[in-house]
Amino acid sequence: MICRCFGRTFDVSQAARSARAAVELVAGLPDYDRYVAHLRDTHPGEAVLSREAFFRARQDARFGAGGGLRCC
Amino acid sequence: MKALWALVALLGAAALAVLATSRGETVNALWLVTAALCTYALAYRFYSLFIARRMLRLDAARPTPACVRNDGLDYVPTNKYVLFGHHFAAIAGAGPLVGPVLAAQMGFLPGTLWILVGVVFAGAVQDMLILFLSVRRDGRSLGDMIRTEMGPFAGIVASIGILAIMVILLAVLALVVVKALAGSPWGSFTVFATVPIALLMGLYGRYVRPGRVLEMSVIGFVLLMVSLWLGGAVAADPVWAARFTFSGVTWAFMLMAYGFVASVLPVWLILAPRDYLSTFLKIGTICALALGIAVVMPELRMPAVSRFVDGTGPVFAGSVFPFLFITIACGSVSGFHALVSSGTTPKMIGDEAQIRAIGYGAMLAESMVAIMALIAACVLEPGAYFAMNAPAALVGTTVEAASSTITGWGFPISAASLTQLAHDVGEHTILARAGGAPTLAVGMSRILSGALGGRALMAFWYHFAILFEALFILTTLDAGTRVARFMIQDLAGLAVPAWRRTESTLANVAATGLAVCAWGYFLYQGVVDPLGGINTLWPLFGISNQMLAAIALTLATVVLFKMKRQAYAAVAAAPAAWLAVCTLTAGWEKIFSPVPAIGFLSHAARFAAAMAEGRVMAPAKTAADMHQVLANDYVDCALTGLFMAVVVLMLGAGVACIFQALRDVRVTTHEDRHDLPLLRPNV
Repeated sequence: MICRCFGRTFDVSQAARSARAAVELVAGLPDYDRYVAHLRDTHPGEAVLSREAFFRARQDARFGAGGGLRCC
Repeated sequence: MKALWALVALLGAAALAVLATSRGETVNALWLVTAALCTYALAYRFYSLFIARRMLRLDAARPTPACVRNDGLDYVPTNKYVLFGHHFAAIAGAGPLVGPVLAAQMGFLPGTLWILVGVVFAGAVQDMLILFLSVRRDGRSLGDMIRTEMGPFAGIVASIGILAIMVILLAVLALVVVKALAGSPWGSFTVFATVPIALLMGLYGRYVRPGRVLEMSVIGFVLLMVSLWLGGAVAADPVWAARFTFSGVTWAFMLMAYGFVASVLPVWLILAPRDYLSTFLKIGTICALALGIAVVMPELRMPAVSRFVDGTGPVFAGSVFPFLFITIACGSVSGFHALVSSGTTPKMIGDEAQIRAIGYGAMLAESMVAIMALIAACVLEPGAYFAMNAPAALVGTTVEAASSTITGWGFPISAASLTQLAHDVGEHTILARAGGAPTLAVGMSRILSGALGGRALMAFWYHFAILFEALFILTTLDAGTRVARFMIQDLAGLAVPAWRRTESTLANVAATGLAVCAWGYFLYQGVVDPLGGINTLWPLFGISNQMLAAIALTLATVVLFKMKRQAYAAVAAAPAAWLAVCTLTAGWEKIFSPVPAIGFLSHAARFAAAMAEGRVMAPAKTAADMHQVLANDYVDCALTGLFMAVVVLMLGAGVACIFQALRDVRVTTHEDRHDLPLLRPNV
């Protein structure tokens, strides 16, 4: 969805996507779309995790050994 | 520009002057907020810039681990503001909310000054330096860096210290929850409800809409609000209220069972969803409190300095030095942040120059949370504050006894107003609810109901605040138990390698059981303590937390010498020395003070004398209880001794490393050089 105001154009759905990604990152979950884009750009040919597998791997890393220390 | 900063300095000084000179009349909380904000602005603009440019020479052109190792998973260059939020959510917790509330017994001024001075010169400096060290070392952890920079012995000593602080931290946080929920059906119901809510969120995020953290958190939040409303109905119904009324001891055992189960189960089922929910709720509530204070502009009813600066206070025993400086840990300086700053954040910084905003800046924000907690405690009538925080052994168990004792201390409060306050917040009693959470909740409900809903919504806001604190404390409890389990496996693995196998169920269950027993022991001891437990446990926690900060700052000092930047060593060495002096003095007094309320040994001696005469002293009811009290005193003594030994050993190791560095003409630190080929495999 494109919205025009003050003579500029905004992609509302894009903005909503990045806002959601930012909020999720605050809770420790990196952006899946960015991960896919990163692999495509820098490691072409490498196997890409599915969204589900990515989420599981991130959760295990956050709460696994050596990860996820939060303060009192 | 210069004129503007001069204006900020003047405004801050004026606000501090108003606070410091107020005698006998109330002061508006906005003065406190103004003084804090001006201090933060000046410290950030000048001191952190000095550290960033002159001392550390942060280099925006130097590639960070996130750039070099970018894998889209662990190492990801992240937007500065998003990373600020991530880091802030990781460092902010119950600590900055509880400490300042306890310290309010001395009046608002001592706590305020320590929060402001401490954060500017110690806390924010520590967070920034450790973050810097970790970014320059591939995002490695504090323990790892101590091993490589200060040697394997120092590494093991630090690991033992970190495990001990985890145990005490979990015990004291669990105690805060017990104090808030014992005998409160409304609170108990809502906290129970969080378990099925988390399960539902976990299943949703696993099978229905995988990975949609925000969606499941919104669902969780809505259900949480429903349970909060239901909790009110439960508390109003005599049959259901009785079913959800539990004693402190019952709550202690339920928490232990919960901590064990939640940290053994797969993380996606309960631990992770709870973590998401509590992260968002935490940030939301902190913002709401800030807005509430700005809108309501409450008056501080607590005097600037109360008579309890002499060390006879009912909330915690001991005088301003050293006990104020260990009571307020998070919010001014917290060693725990050194663990967070060397965790995930250094792997996500895309530009070295941002270390200043993330490390120093986020800690200033955390400090503001501590200031708000102090405000929430000080907007209560002092009499009500003491009724909630003084142990029953001192003020009695009825509102009449409490009001006459506290009025006798010079803080007039009527029995009727204590009953009315309990009624307003939807509880049977508010007496002897030490631990910070209930006081903060009453303060917050005053402020938030002043902004929205008036008296009618006070009970709702009170239980909202209790729920919010209980939720993120329970999150710390299960995640912390898990972390402690890994630490135990790591340390035990030094002797018996089989312990290291984190995929082995037996090793997992055994290490988790050990972790729960360790904090459960201190929790139980705190719950049955007639002086409220917080009295004993909070100082132990404060000592261990500041001890860790002293260790982290010692590491930073050592590295500065190794980098040949010793001209600036005082920036890290001075707060390290101050924290070492505070923890060692406090530890010494906790062990050897002749006052039984402070010293473990003199307390034990009193009980030993009574036992020799065949008498039974409160809290003990039988001779076996007397033995237990004695044993607790000796365990507390040994633990304090361990903390002191860790500090002394680490300081010794630090001094030795400094002399070694001075003898060498070269730079001897172990920074990663990303312009050279990578030495380690990409893990």
